[in-house]
Amino acid sequence: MTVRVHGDVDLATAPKLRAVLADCDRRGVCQLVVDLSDVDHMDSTGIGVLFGALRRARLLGGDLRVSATSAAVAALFELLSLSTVFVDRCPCNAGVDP
Amino acid sequence: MNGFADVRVVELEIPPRRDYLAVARRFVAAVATVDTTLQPEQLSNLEVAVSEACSNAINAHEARGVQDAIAIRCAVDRRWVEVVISDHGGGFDPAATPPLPAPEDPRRLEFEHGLGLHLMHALTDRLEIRSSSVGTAVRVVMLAPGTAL
Repeated sequence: MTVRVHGDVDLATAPKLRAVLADCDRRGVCQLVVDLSDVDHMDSTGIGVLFGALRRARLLGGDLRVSATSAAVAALFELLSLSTVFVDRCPCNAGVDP
Repeated sequence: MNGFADVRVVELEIPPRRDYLAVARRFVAAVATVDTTLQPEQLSNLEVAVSEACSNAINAHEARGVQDAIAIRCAVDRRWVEVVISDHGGGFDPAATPPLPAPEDPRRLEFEHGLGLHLMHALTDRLEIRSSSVGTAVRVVMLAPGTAL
C-alpha cells in the first residue's frame, strides 16, 4: 500500500500521518510505501512517526520504505543518513528503486 | 551580533499552539530572505531548525498549561541571520538529554523522539540554549557562504 502525504509534516500535522499509518497496522498492511514527493517541510516529529511505523511494520513481518521525496526532505534524509533506514528490504519488491 | 548599524530586527509572538508552527517558520524564512545572501538550502535548513525550537517551546507550554506567547526575534544582516526563540515553559538541561543511537542505527527505531536537538545542531552554524525553571531561549545563527563567526 502506498501512502501519499501532502503538505507539511510537523508537530501540528504529524498525528494525522501517525493515525493513517497505525490504521494500516491494524488492518494487517505491513508492506508500506510512503510517498513524500509533495511534502515541502518535514521535521523530527515527522521522522519520528516514520520510525515508529517502520518498527511496527517490521514487527508484523513487513517493512516501510520511502518511495519519493521533495528536494527539501531529500536533503534532510541525506543529512541524517536515513536512506539507509528506509530502504526496500522486501524480497517481493526487489529491484524497485528506493 | 548586535550593535551593527545595518542590522534589522523583526519580532513575532505566537500563541503556544501547534497550528502556529507553520506561521513561525514562514515568518523567519520571509525575514531571512530580505537583504540576506543565504542560499535556498540554508533557508530551508533554518525553517527546520526554527520548527524544532518552536515545537519544543510549544510542548513545554502545553506540559505546564502556560498560555503566554512564544517570542521569535530575528536579527538580519546581509551576511547572517540570528533567530532567538524564547518560551515560558519549565526549562530543561540540554546536557542531561539521554544519549540515543544514531538516526541510521536500527536501534533508533525504538525512539520516536529526541532528534530535534541533533537536527538543530546539524542544520545551523551556531546553536545556543539557555534554559532555567522559568523558560528557555534558543539562539540559532545561519551564516551566508564565506562568512566567518
